[in-house]
Amino acid sequence: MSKLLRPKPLALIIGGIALLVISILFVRVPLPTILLPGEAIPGLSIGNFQITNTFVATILADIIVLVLAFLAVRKMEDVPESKLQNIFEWVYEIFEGMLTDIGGKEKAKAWVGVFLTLLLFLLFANWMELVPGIDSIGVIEPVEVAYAEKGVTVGYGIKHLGPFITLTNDQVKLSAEEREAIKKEAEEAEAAGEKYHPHEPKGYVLTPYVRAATTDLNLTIGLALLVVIWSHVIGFRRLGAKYARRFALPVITGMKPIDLFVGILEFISEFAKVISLSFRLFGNVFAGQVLLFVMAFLISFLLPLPFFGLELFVGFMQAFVFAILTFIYFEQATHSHAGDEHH
Amino acid sequence: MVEILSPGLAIGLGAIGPGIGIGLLVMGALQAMGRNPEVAGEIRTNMILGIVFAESIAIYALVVALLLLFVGAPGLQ
Repeated sequence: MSKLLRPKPLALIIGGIALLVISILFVRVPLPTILLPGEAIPGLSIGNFQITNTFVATILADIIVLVLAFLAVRKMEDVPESKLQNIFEWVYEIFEGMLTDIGGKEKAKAWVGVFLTLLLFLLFANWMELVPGIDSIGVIEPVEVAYAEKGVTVGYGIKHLGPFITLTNDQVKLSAEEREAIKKEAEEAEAAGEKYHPHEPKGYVLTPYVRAATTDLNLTIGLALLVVIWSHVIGFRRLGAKYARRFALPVITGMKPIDLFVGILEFISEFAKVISLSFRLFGNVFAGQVLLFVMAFLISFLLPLPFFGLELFVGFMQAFVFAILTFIYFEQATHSHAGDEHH
Repeated sequence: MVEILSPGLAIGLGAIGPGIGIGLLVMGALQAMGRNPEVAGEIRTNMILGIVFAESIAIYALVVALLLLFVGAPGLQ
């Protein structure tokens, strides 16, 4: 207790509490617009292809991983001088050892590349939600347009700060009548072949340029489909026609009736794999992002800090689980059916 | 009313099972670590993996809740 009463810690504590009170009373952060699908950035498209902010984040994560990897292997040395090469070797060795424990030396060597690629890509894609400013720098558009396109009903006022425009905390909610009117106007504008624009916008919403890539279900389902199909390809390559046996395909004769049920279950579990892989990753990261939004909205100072730590852990854990499950699926696909060895 | 109640129920009821499951899982892991501290590291890794799997069931409930909240159920409007 006496340690806390010395001038320096005391000043820090009082300052912290004062900032907390000020942030509770005066500094209010608007709650960002939470949308499930990736948001198309207004005015940014290639031909008919609307570029979404999660797409931008995917490309960014790709670039980060590629640049880091290229820098690490640019000047390969037996005794590495560069820190980056050291880090990459350390990471490689840790995970190769871990995979060897699970699947044996030969399989670990064969797929450690896939494992690390998925891990690093998802790691940076997940952690992108933690970068300050990533969800608050973007394009501002009238809430009426956002309602007509995406069904957003809550907007905010705006303020000019030099060359920048910023949202304020004045919340504007569209009433039921206004929504009807907007719908009608938007339909009329579309019929006339024009872009809908309100005469006098009530409020504005912000579409960020970048939103963490894994908060878009498209990316996670795509990746899950890729790795599950890939595991079947590997199974067929290594086991040949024997691989089809586990799905109890009718062409294979000499099956016991129980094999048929096992085969059907096995078949269904392939779809369950895709669903659980994709929804686990998406749900965790999306929920984490909503959690961070809401915490910053409640009290913008100090309160979000522990949750950033939590999300740092969750982001790594989910990337790791996705990658290790990929490896386990690959490994399972190369196991021949338990009874086959004796035939 | 139903629009507000249904996401709450979805995540609230869906979190019961994984909560119990994670509790049991950590209990078992901690007992094992207490009895055999030499393999604590290995147990911890597997415990975290198990927690993630148990938690993913709660995440499915959360996804359903979020879908109900932001997209809405067909026929509820």
